[in-house]
Amino acid sequence: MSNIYDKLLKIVICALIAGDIAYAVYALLPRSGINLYEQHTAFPQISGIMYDGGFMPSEPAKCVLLRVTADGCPHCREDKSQYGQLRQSARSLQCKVIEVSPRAGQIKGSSDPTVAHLQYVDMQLAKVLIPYETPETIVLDNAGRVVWTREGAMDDSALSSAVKSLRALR
Amino acid sequence: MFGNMINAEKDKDGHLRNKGHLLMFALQNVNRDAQLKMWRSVLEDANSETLQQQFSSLQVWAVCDEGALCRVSVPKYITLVGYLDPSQMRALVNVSTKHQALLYDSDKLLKSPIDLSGTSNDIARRLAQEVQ
Repeated sequence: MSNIYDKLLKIVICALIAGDIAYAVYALLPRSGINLYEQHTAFPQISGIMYDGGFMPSEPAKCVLLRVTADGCPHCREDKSQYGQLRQSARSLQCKVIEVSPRAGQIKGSSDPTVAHLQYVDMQLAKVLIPYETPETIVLDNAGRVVWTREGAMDDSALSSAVKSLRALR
Repeated sequence: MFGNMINAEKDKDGHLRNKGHLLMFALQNVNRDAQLKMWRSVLEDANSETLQQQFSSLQVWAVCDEGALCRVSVPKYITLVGYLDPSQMRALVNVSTKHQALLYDSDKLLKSPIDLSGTSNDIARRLAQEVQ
């Protein structure tokens, strides 16, 4: 009888260990390819208070590259190079580049004057933006519609599809 | 016109003023007069001294849904806010669609959503239960 219990106990322990290993592998995998927004979801014209305390008024833009990021986010460092290239493409197409963190104080800001670092947002943006996961990269057209989006770190293939979406807005 | 918990009035120990609470509700610009009238009724006409005492250490933020476009005159005990950090604003959006407000405790942690259904007396009673 005790033999059966021993076997059962071993099976339970093995299952628990396997579960922990599976969870650890899942947690360590770079998260990508999940889209939080339906294509053509409409964002409002974005306005808010920037990290330097300045006010960013809502203005029409040819296109917008919006990035939800935080300095302490490990997945944001993973695609630093891809995001840098995407930012460059966006700027060359005269898109507005906006970075926002889920919580105030999570971006130190940078000296790059072409990037608006938003700290506080209005309710219109919060109705659409789902700000809990970092990084999120979103490309909006001139009407604020989502044309490309990515939750998680971008790889090279994501970068090329994002650039393609941006170029299609020309 | 913008804020988050760090902008709330605090004591030296970092707790909210008088170890009080902070109530945050979404103010629709198009419907602002009716909403403010309701909140005045909740906070001013609370029909007992005990309720009035409980509300005296309450900070109240009206978060306007049109940001900088909101030009609203509010009673002096209400702070008008147009911008919040994205997570906090999203939390408020989520509860306001359920006709609720958010109540934070003196440690600036979310204590409870406050149901805004019923009369102003009902809301005052619910609020008083949470802040006592």
